[in-house]
Amino acid sequence: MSDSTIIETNSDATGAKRYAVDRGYWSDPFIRYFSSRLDKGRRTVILSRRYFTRVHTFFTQAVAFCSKFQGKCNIVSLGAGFDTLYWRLKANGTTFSQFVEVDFKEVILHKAEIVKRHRPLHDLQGDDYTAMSHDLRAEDAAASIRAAVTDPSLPTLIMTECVLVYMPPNDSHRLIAAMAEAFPTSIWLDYEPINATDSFGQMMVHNLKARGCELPGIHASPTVAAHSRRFEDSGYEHATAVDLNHAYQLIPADERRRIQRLEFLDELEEWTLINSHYCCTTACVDAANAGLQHLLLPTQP
Amino acid sequence: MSSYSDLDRQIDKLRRCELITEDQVQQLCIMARDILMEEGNVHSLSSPITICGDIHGQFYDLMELFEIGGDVPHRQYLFLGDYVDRGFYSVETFLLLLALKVRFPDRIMLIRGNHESRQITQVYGFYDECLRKYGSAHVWHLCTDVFDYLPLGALIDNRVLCVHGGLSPSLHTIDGIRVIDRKVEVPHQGPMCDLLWSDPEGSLDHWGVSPRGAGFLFGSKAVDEFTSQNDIAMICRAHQLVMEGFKWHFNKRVLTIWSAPNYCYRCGNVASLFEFRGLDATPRYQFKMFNEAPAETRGNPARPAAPDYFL
Repeated sequence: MSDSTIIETNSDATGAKRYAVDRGYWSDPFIRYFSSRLDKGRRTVILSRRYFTRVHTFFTQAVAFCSKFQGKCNIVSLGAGFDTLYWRLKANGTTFSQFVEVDFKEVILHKAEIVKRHRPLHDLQGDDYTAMSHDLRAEDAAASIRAAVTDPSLPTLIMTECVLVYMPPNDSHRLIAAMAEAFPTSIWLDYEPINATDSFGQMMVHNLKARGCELPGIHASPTVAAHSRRFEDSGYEHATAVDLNHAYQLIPADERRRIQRLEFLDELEEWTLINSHYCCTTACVDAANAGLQHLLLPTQP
Repeated sequence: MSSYSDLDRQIDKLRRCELITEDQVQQLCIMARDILMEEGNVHSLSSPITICGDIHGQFYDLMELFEIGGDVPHRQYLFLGDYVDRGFYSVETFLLLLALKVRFPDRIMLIRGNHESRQITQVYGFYDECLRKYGSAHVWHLCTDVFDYLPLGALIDNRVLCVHGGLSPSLHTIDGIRVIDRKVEVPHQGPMCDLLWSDPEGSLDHWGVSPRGAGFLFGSKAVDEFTSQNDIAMICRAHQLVMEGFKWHFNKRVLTIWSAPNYCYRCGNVASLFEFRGLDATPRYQFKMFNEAPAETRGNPARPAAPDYFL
């Protein structure tokens, strides 16, 4: 699979997020600079709801993390793509010491160009923002990221959304272990597809392959349990993992009711089926005894 | 009025997944409406009959269905609704079924699903597909007008009630269904809505709120009461994706039948047909299972470029 196919997944994701934002699923005044309205047609209700669940989970976790440490902390977003989290946090008044985005050079340059062209993005961007290009599969990835962070001993939130699955399992294990060493007080928030061996999962792998999209990591971490184990086997002390059905239930009921009213979902079976094929994992290593364990996703609603 | 030979030519065309003209669609819809208008809300049928669940525009899988189940008019068919939306070929699928209905009115029965609605088809694909394939919404208007005439259910051998979704807390008798004024857009609530939207729920006795936001969840006692009061043996419905193609509920008194294999080209499920041969002491029936049509028999696009996965 070529890296350009991985990069294309970024514009798919951004377009789908823009669509959901336009429908009112969540507020993101910045997404429009990264995706034009006319890029594609209608998206399904299920897709918008799934992105809502994902975006809500990542935003809530990031805000909770930054509040706990009153801004004396780092966020490292691996394979950040055109994610707007940095600007949404800034606009929200959430503070942090440093926010680092890592991606392919092509993506980083394109993103920087978009930021430069749009004042609302440019004006919010401060010294606390760092963008760097690095191949996460390379052996020196964690060391290079650490070198870009002013104070790696601060509590650090590391985020990966559908990133590790594109890496061969040896590379992702190495990256996780090296990040645990490079950031000894860190919590990882990860989001990946799972359950590739049942009939839905086999079809998912088949369809993506037909599109030129290989998922070299999918079989090495096939279940929710395997996902928490992967982090625990690679230097993280504690890990919890839940599927997307569970993650949706963790969202406050009034917020769920609000988005359920936006668009009518006709196929609940499909929604449950798809959600059971995505997994949200949190893992922490806590050298500074900062209480990171309290930020892990609860496995009970 | 078209002659049968005109109609047969259109059927041949539609069987090849080719479009008929807008004028032909208009003619077809007028003839279909005249036939459907004469059918009651609950149309009475006799076994043997092959019952099919949701199709959702998966045209090539519908061809597979006829391959497995036998062709119209040699076999009698009952389709439980949801012909359109989601798949690539809602237009061809619905028009073919409608043309077969007009050509063989006593051999194929079409009842209404929750997707046979103006509102739902604007969200889930049929409207967009009509615009794309005909360049205007005219065909969509014609088809959705026909939707209003589709019966709400069927009764086989007086003992098997067939609906798209399920029971309604405001309907205690089949006669209650018969007196609904059905020739309207599917309402957001009330008995007609419930018949098209409700689902069985094993953990319930009577009724529960549906997480779909329309219809109800119905439990075992609701089924007991309805079946005994109306002297029916079972309820056959569709509406819910079941990975195994069919599913029994409440000690085989409710059956879910699903006929869209690899639903949305990504769910990986099998589909089934329910061949019902009649009731003696016990029901006589057979399930026929089928998978999605092989890639070489499909047109282009065989599949969506990328069904929406998270990437």
